[in-house]
Amino acid sequence: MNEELAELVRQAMNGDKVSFGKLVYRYKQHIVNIAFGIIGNLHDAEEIAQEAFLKAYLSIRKLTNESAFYRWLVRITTNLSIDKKNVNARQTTEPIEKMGVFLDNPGHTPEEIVEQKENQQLILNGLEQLTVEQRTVLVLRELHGFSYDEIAEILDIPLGTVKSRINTARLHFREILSKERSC
Amino acid sequence: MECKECKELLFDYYDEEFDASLKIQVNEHLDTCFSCQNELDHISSTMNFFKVSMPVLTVDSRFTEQVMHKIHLEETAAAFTKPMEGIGFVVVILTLGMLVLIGPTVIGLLMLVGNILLGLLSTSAVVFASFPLIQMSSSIILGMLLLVVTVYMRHMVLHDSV
Repeated sequence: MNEELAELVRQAMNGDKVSFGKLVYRYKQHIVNIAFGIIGNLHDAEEIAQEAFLKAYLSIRKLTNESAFYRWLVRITTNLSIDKKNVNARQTTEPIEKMGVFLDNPGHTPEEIVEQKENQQLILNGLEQLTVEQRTVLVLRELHGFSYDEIAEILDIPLGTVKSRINTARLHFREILSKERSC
Repeated sequence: MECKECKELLFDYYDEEFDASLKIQVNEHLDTCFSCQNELDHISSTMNFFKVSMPVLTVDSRFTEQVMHKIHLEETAAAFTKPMEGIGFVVVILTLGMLVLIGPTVIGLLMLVGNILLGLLSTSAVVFASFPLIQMSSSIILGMLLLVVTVYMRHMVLHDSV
């Protein structure tokens, strides 16, 4: 963590709302995308991300180490997302066209865009078939690059459980995608 | 190294969560085993497909404002509810204090009224007095009801204002 960021977190921990606003601005994209990865619904993901920032603001004084801020924020987000996903367990993924998703990585040609949308739908359908625990570790590890140790800390589970859960999730996801692609 | 052992280590190899000596052993096996190499390629290509194809959302520019607005509302609600909690606490203490002070008189009076009423309703009185369980469960139900009403009112004050 660079000194400027550490200073922002320190100021936010002292109740400086402007500094906290800068942290929201800085991390909003990451947090919304983590929630989206776990939930698979744009509207819920934004709502969860806002709730996570609100919770973080209200309890930031409990944070003892400013360098742990981001992991702590991700922890709040994953807990809220898992709870939400468990409540909406029967909700199916909306088609990507209906979601009104604003993508950060759009294709260039019309053919690329069509292919990209098909692939995105395939991924979202595949994720939906995983358990929420498998989905969470896969998103944290593969999409957001957290280490095994960091995931263990975020989810508050033993390192061995993280490893086996990630491996099971990868195998399951690979099977699902192979099946979906062959259809 | 056998294929079975290598396949168990492929995810760790893919994640590069390895000590150097084990990595050399897996590398040597992969150089000669098409099946394990194929398995590793399959893992890598699936995970790469996942990373490339997962939609990456662009967050609305008003997101930060919305969060800060929610924080403002929460603080406003807290500024209202915190003194209320304090006032509620004082009221409870005062009520308890009064009960301790005038309790013996009030309870004696209540018991007298109760006995008169129970005397009047002799059948009900027999049933009621015979089953202390009924008395206890009535108190518990009343207590639970009060708790639910309190929690619900608190929820309304905190969340409806946000």
